[in-house]
Amino acid sequence: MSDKNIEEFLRNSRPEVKDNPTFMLRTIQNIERVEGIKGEVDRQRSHGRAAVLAALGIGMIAGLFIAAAMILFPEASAILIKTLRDALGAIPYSLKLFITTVAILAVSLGLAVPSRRQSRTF
Amino acid sequence: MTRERFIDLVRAEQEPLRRFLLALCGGDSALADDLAQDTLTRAYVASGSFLGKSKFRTWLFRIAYNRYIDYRRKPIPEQSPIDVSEAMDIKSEDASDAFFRYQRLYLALDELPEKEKAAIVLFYFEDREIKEIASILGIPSGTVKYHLSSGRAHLKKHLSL
Repeated sequence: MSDKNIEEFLRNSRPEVKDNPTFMLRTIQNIERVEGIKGEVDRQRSHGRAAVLAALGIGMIAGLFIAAAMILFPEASAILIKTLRDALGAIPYSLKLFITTVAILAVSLGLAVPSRRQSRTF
Repeated sequence: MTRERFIDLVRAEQEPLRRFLLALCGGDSALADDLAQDTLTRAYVASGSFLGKSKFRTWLFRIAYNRYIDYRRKPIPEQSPIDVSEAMDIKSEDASDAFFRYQRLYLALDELPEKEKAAIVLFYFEDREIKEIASILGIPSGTVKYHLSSGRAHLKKHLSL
């Protein structure tokens, strides 16, 4: 078979695509699904952005209140600062207790989470 | 690109796209249509990144070819052996008739390396230019010409007419 013959054979053997009326319908349905997912992602993004902005606003207002309180009530704020400093200073002494508490909580969570998952499965 | 524009472009390109994948999938029209649907969904998701530097159909066929290659790389699940006596009782349908008509060609095409097969299909069945085939397959034009020449030689051997 020459090159010309094989070329002719190939050109005459173009596969025929069977009519599929549901093909475009499926395509449009898939596009709608993609649009739905895109919309959901956008909604969640805007929710996240709103939450960050709200946290920023609350933080700024709280900061302003604390600053105002420290200016208006210097004695009370001095006591508060001293208490906080004492509490922070006590951490190194109670470090062992702190680590033990965290470890117990982690183990408890580790036991509780899989048993919850199992209860959902059955 | 708007949703309506995308659907219009797809309406014009769906038949060549399905035919391209049908030839690559050895005549399995269900598989070809599934891959075409997947291609179109991916294309729609990525349509924001389509800058129009190439033609829409070139871009679409590139996605389709990559999707097909991904599919071929997946391990094929084990199938139960076919009972020939049961197979003889299956009534002939249009789809199977079409499949048997092209079976020899599909079997020969399936013997070719993927890029060679895609180059042959795009050049002879889709009448695409060498430059466009090069863009779809992501190879230089010279390599497309080489694949076409070696593809013809391989097909001659496999078809043994």
